[in-house]
Amino acid sequence: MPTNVATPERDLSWHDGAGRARIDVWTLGTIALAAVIMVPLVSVVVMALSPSERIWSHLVDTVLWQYVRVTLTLMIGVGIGVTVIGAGTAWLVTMCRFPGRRIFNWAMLLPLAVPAYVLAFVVTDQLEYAGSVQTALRALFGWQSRQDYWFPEVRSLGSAIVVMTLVLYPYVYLLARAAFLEQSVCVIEVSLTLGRGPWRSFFHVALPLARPAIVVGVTLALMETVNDFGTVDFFAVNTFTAGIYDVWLNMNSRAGAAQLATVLLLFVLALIGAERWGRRGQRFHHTTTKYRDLPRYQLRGGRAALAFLACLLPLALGFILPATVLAGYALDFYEETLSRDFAVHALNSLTLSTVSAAIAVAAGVFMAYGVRLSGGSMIRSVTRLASVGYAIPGAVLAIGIVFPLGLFDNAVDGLSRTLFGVPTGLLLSGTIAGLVYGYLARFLALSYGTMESSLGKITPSMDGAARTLGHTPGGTLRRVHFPLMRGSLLTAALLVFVDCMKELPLTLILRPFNYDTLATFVYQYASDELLEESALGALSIVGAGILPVIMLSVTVARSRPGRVDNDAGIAA
Amino acid sequence: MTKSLFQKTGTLAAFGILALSGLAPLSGAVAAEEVNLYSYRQPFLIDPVLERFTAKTGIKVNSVYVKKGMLEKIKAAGANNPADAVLTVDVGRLDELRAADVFDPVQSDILNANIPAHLRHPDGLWFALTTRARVALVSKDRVKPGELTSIADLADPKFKGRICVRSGKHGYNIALIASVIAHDGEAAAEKWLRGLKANLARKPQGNDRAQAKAIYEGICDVAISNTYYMGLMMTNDKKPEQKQWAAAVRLTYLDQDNGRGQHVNVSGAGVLKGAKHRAQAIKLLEFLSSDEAQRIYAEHNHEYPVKPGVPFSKLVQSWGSFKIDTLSVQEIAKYRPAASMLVDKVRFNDGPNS
Amino acid sequence: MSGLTVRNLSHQFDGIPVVRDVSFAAGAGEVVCLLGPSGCGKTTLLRVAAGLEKLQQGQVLIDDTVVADAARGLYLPPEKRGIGLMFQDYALFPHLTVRENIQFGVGAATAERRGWIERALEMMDLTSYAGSFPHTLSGGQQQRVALLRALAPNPRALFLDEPFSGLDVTRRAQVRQQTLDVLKNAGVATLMVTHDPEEAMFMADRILVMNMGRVVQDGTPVETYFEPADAFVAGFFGPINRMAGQVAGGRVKTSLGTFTAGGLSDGTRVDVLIRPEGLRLAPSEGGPETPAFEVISARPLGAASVVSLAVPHTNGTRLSVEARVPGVFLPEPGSRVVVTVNEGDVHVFEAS
Repeated sequence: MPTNVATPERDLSWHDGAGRARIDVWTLGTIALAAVIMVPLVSVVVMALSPSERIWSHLVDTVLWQYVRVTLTLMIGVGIGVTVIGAGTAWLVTMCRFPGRRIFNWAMLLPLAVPAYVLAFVVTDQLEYAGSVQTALRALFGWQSRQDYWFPEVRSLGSAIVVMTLVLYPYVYLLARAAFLEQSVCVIEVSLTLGRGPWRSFFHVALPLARPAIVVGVTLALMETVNDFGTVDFFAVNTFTAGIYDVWLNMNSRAGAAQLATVLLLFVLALIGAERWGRRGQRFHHTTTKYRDLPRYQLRGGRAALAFLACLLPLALGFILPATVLAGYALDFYEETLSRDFAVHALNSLTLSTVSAAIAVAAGVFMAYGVRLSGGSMIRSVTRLASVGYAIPGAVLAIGIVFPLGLFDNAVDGLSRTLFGVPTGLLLSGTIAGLVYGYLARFLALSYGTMESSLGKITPSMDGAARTLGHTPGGTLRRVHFPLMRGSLLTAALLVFVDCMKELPLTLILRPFNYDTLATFVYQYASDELLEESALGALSIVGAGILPVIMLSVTVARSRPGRVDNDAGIAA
Repeated sequence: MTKSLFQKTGTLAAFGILALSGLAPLSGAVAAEEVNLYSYRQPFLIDPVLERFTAKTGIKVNSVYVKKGMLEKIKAAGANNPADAVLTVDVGRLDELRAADVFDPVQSDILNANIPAHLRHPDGLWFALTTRARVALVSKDRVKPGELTSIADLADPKFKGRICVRSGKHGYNIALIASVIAHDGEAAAEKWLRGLKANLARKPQGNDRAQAKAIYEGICDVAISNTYYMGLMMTNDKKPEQKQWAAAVRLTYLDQDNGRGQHVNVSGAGVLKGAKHRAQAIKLLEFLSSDEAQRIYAEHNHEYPVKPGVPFSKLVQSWGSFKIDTLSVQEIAKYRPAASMLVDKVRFNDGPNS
Repeated sequence: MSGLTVRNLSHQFDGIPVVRDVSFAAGAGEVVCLLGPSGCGKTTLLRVAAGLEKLQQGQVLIDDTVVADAARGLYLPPEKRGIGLMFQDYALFPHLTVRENIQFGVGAATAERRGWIERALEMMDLTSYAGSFPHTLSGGQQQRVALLRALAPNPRALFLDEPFSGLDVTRRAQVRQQTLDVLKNAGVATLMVTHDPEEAMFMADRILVMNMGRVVQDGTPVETYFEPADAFVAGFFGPINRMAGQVAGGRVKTSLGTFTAGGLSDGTRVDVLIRPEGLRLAPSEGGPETPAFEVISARPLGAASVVSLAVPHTNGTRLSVEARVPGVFLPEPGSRVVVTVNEGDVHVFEAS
């Protein structure tokens, strides 16, 4: 403002410093954060540089192509599954009216809280010979034994695809629904007036416009698919990740495992790169500030029933079934498993997940905004690279964390001993801080991806307007972007929270002594396929995820810009 | 609204960090009587024994259940490694830790007296605490006594389509296959594994109990399992269906009489280099090899005590005595990578129809 | 001088020059329009001057203070420049009410600024909408909110990017007048980007006509219209009749008459440009002394009429020439009219 302008000279020198420093805080901060988060990845790549002797020739001669084929099939299957279910149901609940829509609106997210291996247990439990399905079939047809009929192999690639689709589709649902809600209704109406019906408008306008969000969701789901070990191990499916663990633990070759993990990483990067290239030049900012209530198609009769079923089925299989089965087992077995420490485990899980979610979201926002401010493609690539830790199998990433943490701790310890004669011991290794760092390295993709896509939807004019009105980049973020991204911020926080609640391999390896979470508590039983004993803990994980899921859903529905819509959330 | 969200996040994070720092253990603080333990054993199995140890000695046991990555965790911490001792369930892991040179030799008269020489490392790097036999469970109805007596029989075409087993990559099966390689050489082992694969009734899957269940359900006639699972099923009051599974099978020790003896695996422990609580760690190991602890293993988990004179559980006794394969477990452990590669080579885990 | 000064500003994207060596100044209370076709670099110039793009070459001063100087690596971020910017899409914050939007840049509002905001809302007929959210307003109202938001912090320079393009034609005239009143009242140096010459002439004290990154003319609206610097400028202000010719004896001969060549040397090939309103038409009385031309079509525009004529060209072809005459003048197609040309409306440039 003119009032604070003194002599040009003084003004100028002051500007010079402040002007440059301000840019650098965000850029340097983003690069520094990305570098810190990338350390485990670099560490894995460094491990991969050691020779692995005959591992590769062995793999190439035997199972490598099977790993590749199975992993690709799994990815394609899950990719299609989560896209169809996630985007399809998101469209139904945002754009149509049918019985149960308001409940489905938030309930569709619930399978997110179910760990995949738990659903795998439950599904197998129900489908195998002694399970309810085959028992019922035998009773129905009078079959006596296994030899009397054919039943598909339960522990198979197909089952793995189905189970992972059911617990991972909420990623796509969540992001797609937010995208549909944020879409200007005008573009849909334009499409309708151009003679395209609701279905064709969905495929030709709404879906392509929501593509960045859907891609983020599918990418997250696929990264989780490739890093999974528990589910594929249970279903006896030989994926790349199963191979990584085999090479590491059975063939005693850490370098070989790191090499396989690096290949996996490069593959995921190539995939992400290909998708970005595929939509180069397209822009997805909102093109108008005019928002109105979404017109909802009223579905009746058969169509309403179909929409109802389309939503009910994934929900029933992905949540109601496992929750019910777990609740039954938990009731039967709580005496054996409800130890006096159970509340402590639960508290540990909740605190750890909350703090990690807050930190991951803060880091995600900072980096996504830093990239937006600098606009450079270099920095964009660096941050994206930092967020692919999610695709690496958890235990391998943990090893990538353990070594640098140990190096750091011992270096600090050595320095402190020489300088002050005081040992510092392990500052980060085997501490909660180290564990939170691990979660950040693993789950940054969840928060960064969500933030990046959310920021991308805000037109740069908003930044320009706020900046020219005297707000710094930080002030602009706080006063303009945060309120506009409120739903996405909470989405990111929820995703990280729920994933931290479920997280296992990192937690097992990085946690301190005498420190259990619900997930590690469940694992001691789950590792031996003791479904009943693990039920109480698993149910608690699911339960802890439900409340934030519902809260989030209400918030997201309300966060539509210029919303006058009062029936989008369950609260209304 | 906008401000409050921002502040809330900040406050929440600050609060959480405070809460966490309160919960975080004081690393580096050395209490006089405690011992830090890395364990491959599930807490619900090992905690009762550890609690007895604390009650008896006043030494607190800080434990953490780690499976994958334990060695890496130890190595990364270097001189500051906080763990004093390691507990494993499989000789493979013991040998891996030994090979990585993280064990410190222990000379203890008590341990040497309690544990027979062939069940501990000659230099005291590790000590077996229980042995566990990997046996055949056969259908009481469909397999006659004497029809299957050896590991080699598992590859006999007369069992085509009749055998169930968990993943060939599971540590217990890797150890079993490694023992075949150790005895018969790689070529013979490959032939045998191909024969076994051809005899499978289904793709390898599930845990050991699931194989007994499959026999009960008529899916197969022969299963490979560790003995204690049989004990756990027979005594499972909470899940009576498991008693039915166990009732359908007969436990059969392999390679008896003129054979090389039953293949066994061991669970064991060792003290780590640079242990800050070395004396306490040795005390813990000594306790684990004592009559009291050995009896808990025997009674609760139906494993075989290593200490001579400690009785098997009644149930285990009812299965009769058996001759043990005398080839040292450490020798067998050397062939684990080869065993794992063999599983890949014959595509064992793809099941019979591949 | 106070206001906005830009010196020798050049800018490029990925090595492609977009703005080339532009200098100008806008004093306090002065409205300067950047006028040019799409892609001429006018919006880039505005964004660089405002600080939304980092300056690559040249200097920007606001109220005599250097805010950006490429030579010294000085770059003051936009929020430190004390400027206002209004976007083509208004960029109103959808989560804030009209009043909150306007107050956004004011910070701890003084009583004086609060009073200004209330008066401004009043003046713009927005008082009753102060508590509404932007999406409930009409386009014209949104435009006014965006303008007030940019002016509320009392900026030293104001940037307007196509401020009226989102409005319908009938609303535009009214909003323009209102905007001009507000700007003059605020006494702020204003740089406005537009591609509409009529809008530029209405709003501007000075017009900078840009083409391919360069300023091709800097002058008052009257100067740029009546004394265009080149054929591009002349042509940019609306439809124009264009004829080729050659200078002979200091004059150029065309089918519509012979005109002064404006000092161009003999033999020079030239373009002769005549605005449609420079032609006066009268019904032909059949006399041989003045040439008459055939009417192709005649259309009324209300205040004026547009008549197309077929004019024989030098090489025997026929040229379509357009005349715009005041009032209603609608000769029958096929009839003939006599044309006289106002010499002041004729522009002769060396052929490009």
